[in-house]
Amino acid sequence: MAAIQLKNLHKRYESIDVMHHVNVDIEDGEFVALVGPSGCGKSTLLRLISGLEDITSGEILFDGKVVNRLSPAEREIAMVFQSYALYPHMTVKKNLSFGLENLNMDRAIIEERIQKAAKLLDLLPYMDRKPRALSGGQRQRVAIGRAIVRNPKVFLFDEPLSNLDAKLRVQTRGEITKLHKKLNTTMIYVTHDQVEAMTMAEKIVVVNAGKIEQVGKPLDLFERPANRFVAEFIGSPKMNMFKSKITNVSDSGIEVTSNTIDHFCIPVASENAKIGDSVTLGVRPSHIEIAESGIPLEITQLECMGHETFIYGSLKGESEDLVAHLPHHFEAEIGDTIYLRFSSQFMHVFCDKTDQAFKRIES
Amino acid sequence: MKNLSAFLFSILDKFMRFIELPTVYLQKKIGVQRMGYLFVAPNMVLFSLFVFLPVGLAIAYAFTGGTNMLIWDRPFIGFENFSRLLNCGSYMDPASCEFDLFWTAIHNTWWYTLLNATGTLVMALITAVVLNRLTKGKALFRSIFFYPVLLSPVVVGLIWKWFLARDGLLNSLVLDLGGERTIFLLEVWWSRFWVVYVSIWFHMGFFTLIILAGLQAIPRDIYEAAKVDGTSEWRQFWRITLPLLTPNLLVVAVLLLIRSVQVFDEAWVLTDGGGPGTANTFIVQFIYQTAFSSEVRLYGLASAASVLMGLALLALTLIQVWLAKKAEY
Amino acid sequence: MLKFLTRTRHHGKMDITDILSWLWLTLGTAVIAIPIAWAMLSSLKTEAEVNSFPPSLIPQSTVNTQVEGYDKDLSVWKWTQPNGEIKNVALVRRIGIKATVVDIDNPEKTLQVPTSEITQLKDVNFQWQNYTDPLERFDFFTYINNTVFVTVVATILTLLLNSMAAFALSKYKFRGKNAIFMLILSTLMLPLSVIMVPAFIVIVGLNLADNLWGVIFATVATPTGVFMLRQYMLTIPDDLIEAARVDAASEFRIYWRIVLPLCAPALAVLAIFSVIWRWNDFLWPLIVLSSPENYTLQIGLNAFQGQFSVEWHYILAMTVIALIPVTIVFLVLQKYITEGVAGSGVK
Repeated sequence: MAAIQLKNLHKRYESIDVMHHVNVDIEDGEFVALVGPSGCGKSTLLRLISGLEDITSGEILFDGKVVNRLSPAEREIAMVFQSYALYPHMTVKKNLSFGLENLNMDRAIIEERIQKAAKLLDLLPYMDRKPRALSGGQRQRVAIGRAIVRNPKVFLFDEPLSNLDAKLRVQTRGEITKLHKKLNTTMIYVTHDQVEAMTMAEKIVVVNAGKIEQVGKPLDLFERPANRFVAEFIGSPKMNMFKSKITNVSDSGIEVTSNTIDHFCIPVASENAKIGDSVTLGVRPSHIEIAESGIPLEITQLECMGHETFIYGSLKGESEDLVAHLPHHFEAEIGDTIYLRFSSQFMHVFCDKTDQAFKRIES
Repeated sequence: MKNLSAFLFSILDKFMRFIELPTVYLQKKIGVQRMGYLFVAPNMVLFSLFVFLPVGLAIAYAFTGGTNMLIWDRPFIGFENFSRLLNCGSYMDPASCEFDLFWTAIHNTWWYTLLNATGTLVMALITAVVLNRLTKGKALFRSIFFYPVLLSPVVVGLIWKWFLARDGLLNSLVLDLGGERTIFLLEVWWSRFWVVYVSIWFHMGFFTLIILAGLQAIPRDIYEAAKVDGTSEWRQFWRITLPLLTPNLLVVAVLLLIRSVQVFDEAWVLTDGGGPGTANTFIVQFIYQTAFSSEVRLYGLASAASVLMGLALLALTLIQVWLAKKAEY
Repeated sequence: MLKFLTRTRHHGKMDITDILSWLWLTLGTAVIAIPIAWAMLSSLKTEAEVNSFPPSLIPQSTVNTQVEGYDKDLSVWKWTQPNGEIKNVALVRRIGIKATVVDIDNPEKTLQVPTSEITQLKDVNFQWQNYTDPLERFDFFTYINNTVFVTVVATILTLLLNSMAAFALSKYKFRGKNAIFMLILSTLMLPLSVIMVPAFIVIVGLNLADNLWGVIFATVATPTGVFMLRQYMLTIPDDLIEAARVDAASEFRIYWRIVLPLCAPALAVLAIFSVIWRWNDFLWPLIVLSSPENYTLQIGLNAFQGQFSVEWHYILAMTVIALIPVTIVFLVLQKYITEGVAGSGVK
């Protein structure tokens, strides 16, 4: 088990910078998700932590010790690859024992460890099979087993669920969480799927274009996104965004006006705000309420699931469509006009110049 | 049996672990990616010694004279070797040259190359087209036609020498048909014919396979479209197969030229060293004899001849690379 | 109805192209097979029969028998008597057109018969001594030994060294990698005949002239092998190698335990080619080897046929020995060989 610190981590390939001075603290035993769109550098970050790639500058510390020059094995990490990377010519048993043999471990200890891991992961019946004779889920378990037997200080997962079908993915998600509870080892988990990150991780690191956008607990990211990118990336469906302008600034918040709303006061910290600045307003689909009167919306599409409803429509004067999510059934037809109400304590304001969010005033 | 192989494997594994030790140390020193140097090193050492160094030496030796083997004992003589090789009254008449054998070899090689390349190409093309039509027995006949390629030049030379011998099967057939007994390999024109014939017999299968691969790359539906149009098979060959195959055939043709220029082994065995007289003496044989089997070993002259041949082959290779690139589009 | 009829007729009938095709195939097979078969059959004939003309198709030998009252075995002849009766007799001696024969069943009595009435009896007989004699009386056993040594050692080294180079060129990032690859690739087209003189001088410089190791080392690094294996290794996912790195395997162990086993199919093809190359190799061993105890089979056979050019019964038997291993390899692995050649264009 290890606490990990990344200090001013920088990575350059030839002349292209792919990681920009990254700083992250990971506590001992924590389950951290690195999340971001594809190509954002989250896998690179994982590979830098693993030692499969060298960093250009900065420091990586495991339990306070610099490990920059150490190989993956010396860092005592274990990794589960997206493709599982099982050795195709070895049986499951050999796959599990290969890493331990490389450490010149005693035969008896190796045997004991792989038996334990196999039992834990229900692999005992398949020990003499080759990977190609296993199902996707079984291969995945072997890949995890190969990581477990080495008793690593840190587990690294590189999109381990993306090759599984939807049902198995949900199931395995639970299993990995359970595994983490049981082993209590630091785990770093790379995924592009924010749902996976939200449901599994204790801490989420949002990566974009080689930079860290925000680090925080899942709910924090959802409720208090630090910037536009995080606000749009976390949460599904995406947060609705409107262009608007600041019309007044006071201690209790900012007053904004747009095509649809008029002199609306939002309780956010106002020290950086100036009257006349253009800002973007954000409101999550689930924070929109239906009312008798208010902002009119013409429904263009309707998804009724029985227990919940998604309403798509266009607001007058707005270029982008709006989505509303109601946690109950809603009777309406396409073409109907309904009225919406936004509540100011759930609204986000982003400065257009910096894309940063104005901090919410906590009541 | 299984135990034995497991035992052997464990010994091998122990041995490899022993070899592994210094590499682990090195890996620690130079880093993972630079281990690539270690892995190419043995190969590069051998390549340097037996390919790159000789290429350099061939050029260096070509400009030196004398009979000493070591380069530093040899006097630099500039282009003398080349000018002597090329010193001719008329290039059409080897007898007028200072090194008549060299020019005889060039003439022989020239004619051999022309006939062998044409003959092999035509034969291989016909065979490939015929094989490609087959629905049954394709693999069998492909193997039969390919088989001679795997024989050694000595074996091929001897088999044919026996077949063409004075008391050989061919003479017996000729006599049965009322012909006259001929000692084929001692008559200038017959021996030349048989050298080309045996070469075609020997190497045709290889080129058949390559052309066949090209034929199989032509999409089936083109033929089906032609069949629907009622095009005869003969017409299909001239109008579809041949035009689509031409880029491929050009590459094969140049490859054939490259191979033909290097004719030596089987002809040497078949004709007892280029006979009768010098009727079947080719350039490689000239180089070999000049350097290795004459009384005075003229390494400089042989190298100069090698360099000349190398330049001709280089030109052909460049043409081939160019054609191959063109064939891809 | 008419359409139906013509269709079936067209399918059933062989048209002229079909006939020509089959003619070509049959003729080609005959042209390829006859000289080889003829050499094989001849290799089993006795010396006398090899040198007789016109030749007989099947290896035969004279039939001899022991007759009471004669020290030596006598040859058996078929006697067609003037009355048409046929009888087997043993020939005692022959003078001019008269032959003295003895009745085998009744050995006391000798007969005088015209030679035109008797023909020698022959039996199918395979002269296996043609194969055993050269091994015992000449150096062919040594030649075969040397060839096997060269073939086995050179093949093992080829597989090891070429796969190592291919591994480096497909799975590592280091400065000069592409230059090295292009350099290796460019030698693909450089024939031995162009560099044989200086290559021999290098061998002399390394003190490997007239040494089997000189034959081996010069041919071990093959651009074909490197190229073929590299192409194959590119299909092995990098993830596997990184997984092994995470699993604490050293780079050498990754090569030995992961990459080599995974390349088995490509290694097998290269091994087949390597064995055939080395077994058949002629020009290079001819240059390097000078003393008969170091000859490989091909060189030995060539030297033997030059020296004992009348001993065709031995020459042919050894020719057959030289072609048998390749033939067996081909019969067993023809699919891989033909596909390997068609796929990579190497020989």
